[in-house]
Amino acid sequence: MNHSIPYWNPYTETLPIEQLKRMQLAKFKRIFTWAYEKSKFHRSLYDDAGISPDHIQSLDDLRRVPKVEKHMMRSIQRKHPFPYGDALCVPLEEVTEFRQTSGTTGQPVYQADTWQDWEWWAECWATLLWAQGYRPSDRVFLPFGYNVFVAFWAAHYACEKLGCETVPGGVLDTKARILKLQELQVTGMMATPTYVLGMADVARKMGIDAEKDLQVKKITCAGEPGALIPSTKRRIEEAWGAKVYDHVGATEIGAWGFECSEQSGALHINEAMFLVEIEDWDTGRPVTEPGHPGKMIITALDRIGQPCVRFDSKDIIEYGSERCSCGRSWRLIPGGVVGRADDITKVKGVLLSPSAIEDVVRSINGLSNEYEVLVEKRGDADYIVIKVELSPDATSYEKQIQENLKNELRLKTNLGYDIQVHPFGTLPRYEIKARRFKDLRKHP
Amino acid sequence: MKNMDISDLTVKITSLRKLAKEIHDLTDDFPAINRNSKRVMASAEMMKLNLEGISLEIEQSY
Repeated sequence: MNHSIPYWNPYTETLPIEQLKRMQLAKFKRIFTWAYEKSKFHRSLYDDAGISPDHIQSLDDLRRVPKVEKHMMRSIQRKHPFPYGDALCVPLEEVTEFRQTSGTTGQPVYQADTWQDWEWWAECWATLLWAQGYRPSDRVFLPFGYNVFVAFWAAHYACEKLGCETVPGGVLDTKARILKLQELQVTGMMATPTYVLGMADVARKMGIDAEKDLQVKKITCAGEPGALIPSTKRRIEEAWGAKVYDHVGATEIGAWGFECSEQSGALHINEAMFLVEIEDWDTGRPVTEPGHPGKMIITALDRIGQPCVRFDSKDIIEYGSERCSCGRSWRLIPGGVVGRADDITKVKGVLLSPSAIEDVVRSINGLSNEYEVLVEKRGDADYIVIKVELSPDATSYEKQIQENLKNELRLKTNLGYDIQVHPFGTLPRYEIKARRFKDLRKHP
Repeated sequence: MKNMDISDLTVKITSLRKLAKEIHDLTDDFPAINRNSKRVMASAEMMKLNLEGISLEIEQSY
């Protein structure tokens, strides 16, 4: 096999835009028809809206199809067919994979996949890993918990599909994982950015310099937006001496976006497998022009067990105006997912971008990688508390660091913060999704 | 990138899907073949999806 080919699928990744749109329309009709015919949940939703597959003649017609929101999925599960409810489009005996969402925004949602879907999940990941330079010669380590959360499961299967030597790093503690990286001369790794940064710290304490003593040259991050946040990416790349790439996906959706080896600061949408729409989060109007952020509505075009048709992800993204120099025709979203279009990130009526906060914290010399943001209600007013840690060698510069942080936060986010500085090692460390943002306000 | 005959590839993958399904349908009483052919069907389907929009018309069913 020719490893120098830059694309996993040299054809769909470079399809002319008009051809790509035709393909998306045909695929949308197919998955919409499938969901309409096979699932009571979808049928009822679409019948109530007075829409059926015959009505879909152009991409503009998609907007007549009702969106599916997470709370709707929660309301049907634990019912027949147990435990998924009637969004399921296949007989239960066709289901080979159970996963559930992490519950970050509420009660976890169960997700069923068939073996065909699992091939598809691995294919989504194989597409992005190939674009990031993974090849069969790589030995890849996956330090995650291998449990009910989808996390890096599909990455594992994608590595096998690519032909990489795949090393499962579940259950081991961080020290054991670092020793295994060293012992096996691992060349690639996948984990959350938070965990990757934490691993470098632990390695340093063990007397191992991740950059000099380990062979890891590629790291793919997912689960949090950090790898596309410039200051976080820089910290990880410097700590490991490796290229760091971002990827974004979700249990209910699939692995829909990725950074390619050009590292343009944007994510590609995998437009052969997903159809992304953006809508204004207040008016619901479609956003088609670059540079206007809105809420992502997404369809997984080939996932059949428990389909994802016009799922309201609440993720805030915007289209880029440029095409990537990698040659893919798939659109770019600059900065990736920059926030969420729900109450969680609205403070004092302003959209608070967790990514912007992280970029500021990680750009300040003398602060550790850890931080937490709490939003509280005091009387009628919202307050934002940010907890940061000083690096061990920065304790004598606390006031100056705090001042820098305050000024930068004000400049980059237009909001004021109550800054609390904590000693190094006292804020929580995370392995999977870091819960750095806590909204303590009561929402209806 | 070498020029490939995508039409020929499409014909071969279509045949593979058909063959895998035939094997699957014949082997209700032979789990070892039945379940392995099910996996081949999934892989063949993935190959088909990889060709759709290029040379292959998009079928309106799975």
